[in-house]
Amino acid sequence: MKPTVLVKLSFRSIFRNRMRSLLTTLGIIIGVSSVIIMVAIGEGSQAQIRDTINSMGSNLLVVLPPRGRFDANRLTQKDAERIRTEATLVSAVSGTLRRSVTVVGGTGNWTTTVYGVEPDYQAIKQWELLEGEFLSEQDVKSRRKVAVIGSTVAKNLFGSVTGVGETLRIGNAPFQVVGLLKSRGTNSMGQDLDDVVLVPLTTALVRLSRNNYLSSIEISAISEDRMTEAQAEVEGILRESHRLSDDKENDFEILNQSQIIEVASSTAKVLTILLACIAGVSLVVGGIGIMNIMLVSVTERTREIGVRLAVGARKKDILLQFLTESIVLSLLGGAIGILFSLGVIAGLGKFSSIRAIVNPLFILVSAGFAGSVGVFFGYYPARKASGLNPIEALRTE
Amino acid sequence: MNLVLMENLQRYYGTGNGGVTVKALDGIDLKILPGEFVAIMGASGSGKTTLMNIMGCLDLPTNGKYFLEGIDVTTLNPDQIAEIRNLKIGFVFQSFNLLPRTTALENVELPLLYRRNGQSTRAIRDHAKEALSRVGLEDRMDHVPSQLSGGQQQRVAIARALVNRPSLILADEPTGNLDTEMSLEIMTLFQELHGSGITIVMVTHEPDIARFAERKVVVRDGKILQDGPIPNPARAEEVLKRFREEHTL
Ligand SMILES: Nc1ncnc2c1ncn2[C@@H]1O[C@H](COP(=O)(O)OP(=O)(O)OP(=O)(O)O)[C@@H](O)[C@H]1O
Ligand SMILES: [Mg+2]
Repeated sequence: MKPTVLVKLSFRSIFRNRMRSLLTTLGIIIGVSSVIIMVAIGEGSQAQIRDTINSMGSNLLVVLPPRGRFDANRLTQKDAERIRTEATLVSAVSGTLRRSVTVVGGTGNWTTTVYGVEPDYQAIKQWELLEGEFLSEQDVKSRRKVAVIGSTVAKNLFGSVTGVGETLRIGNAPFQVVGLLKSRGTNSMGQDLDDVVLVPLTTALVRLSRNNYLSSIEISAISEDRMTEAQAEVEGILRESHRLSDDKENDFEILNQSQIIEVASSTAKVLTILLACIAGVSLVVGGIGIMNIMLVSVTERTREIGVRLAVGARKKDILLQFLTESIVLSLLGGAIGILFSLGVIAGLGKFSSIRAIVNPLFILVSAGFAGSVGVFFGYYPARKASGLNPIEALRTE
Repeated sequence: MNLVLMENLQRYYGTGNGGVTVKALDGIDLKILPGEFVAIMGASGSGKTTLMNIMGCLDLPTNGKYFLEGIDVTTLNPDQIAEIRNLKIGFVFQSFNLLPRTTALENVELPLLYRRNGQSTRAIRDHAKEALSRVGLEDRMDHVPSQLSGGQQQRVAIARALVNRPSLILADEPTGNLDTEMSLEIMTLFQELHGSGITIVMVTHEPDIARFAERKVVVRDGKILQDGPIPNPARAEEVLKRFREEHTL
């Protein structure tokens, strides 16, 4: 029997029992759509995490005090200086000092985060200015009381998104605003990225710190694929600078941007896989539903099978007829599931902040998977149908 | 050459599992020539259906030989047997056995769809239409079985049996479910087909139906009891005409 005829027969039989077919494929529909939705949301959240971390800077290496032991901090501006002069695989270096401080401006005061930074900081973070200019070499050298502010700070201190030329006070000291950062909005964790004040590192160390230790050293490696090498280089320089003998552990910690991404998205990845597996189970349950209904169908149509055998159908023809039917049934379920999931994903994009990324290849894979469910669970009933004895089949009522 | 040649054919049921063996056929010798119209008669349980099933290659004998057009059917594999059923045999059953919710035309197309070197959809349709007009149902092609009378359903079944131009049409009590008038219509059709050279073997209980055939074979307890020509077969067309005259007001 020709394939076209087989497919036509399948559609006829499926649409003859519309309701039954729909209920049968429900398992596949739910299975396919939940797999697609879960994976899309999983990939979306991974991408979100990646974006958030990438927004922290480019090819970023961050040197921090040892984890959980901030009192053991020995990072100094001199360390940053040494990295800057000695490391060959880094393009920009800035020591930072971070403090939460209340600053006072023309129309109000505002508690914000003040960063003491060096000029390279702009290149590392790739922040752009809306007005004015960034902190200069000279500002750092001369410990000038100048500041670059974010738009949130500007609004709260000066009532509008301006401020270059104005003065703000940190503690008792007046700082002149020399630059206004371009707004960057909020990140995926809801943090306001415009709520910052940048001042020269040297000034900050004098005014905001009781010792000379840094909060971190931020470094840009020269390229993404040399991050690991750059990290090793920085580690060596710091160990030397801190005079650590070979048997001593690092008294600092270096985070590598790609590692950060990996660690942060690995949780999302595991969760995605877990959810996809659960959804996969419902696909299998859907397959069992199809097998069940195909067995019923074989029983109902025993006489029809007898007639077909009597007019010359081979075993193979009967096998293919029922197999085609179960494949078409599962593919229909798969198609409905795909459409449904695309609808849900579009809805998510429109009406919620949940990000979901649809991978076209994955859609194809799920369609293929639905088809294989049809083959796998349709084979046994089809086999049963093709094994019927024509005489007995013709005798059944 | 013999169309059908059976030599000492046996069909036993129940052998193997230790129960009582039923000898449904117990030494059948039978020859049928092309173009014959044979009526097989016998009491219930005598083995008529078993004989037809073997003749139609739906079943195989336990012992003995069966040659159809010189081919030893017992040596063929299942696919070859299916092909013989498709090309050489046309079945007509007592209970019509049409596919439900499927139009007359599609029912008749069925054997053509299973032909190995299938024809185009168009050719299949044309063939099926031709067969349907041969049984006088060209205007009922799109009706499904539930919209047809018993006689009409049986005619669709006959068209289906005819459509592959088989060597042999086998009818197991084709009039068993029909009233007298419809039975006579079917017999008229059979005689017409027989007149055009088609070989027909028909099982019937009713002597009134058997007399339209040319040869009568009587089976008893799985053996042939009597086999001979029917002198002066009745003309179904005339009987039908007379019957209609008597039963109209
Ligand atoms: N599948 C089977 N298993 C066991 N015995 C069977 C089977 N089929 C038929 N028989 C037996 O074989 C014998 C012949 O049966 P068959 O159906 O050929 O009779 P028949 O002449 O067609 O009868 P009827 O006129 O009632 O249709 C009967 O005794 C029947 O019980
Ligand atoms: Mg019988």
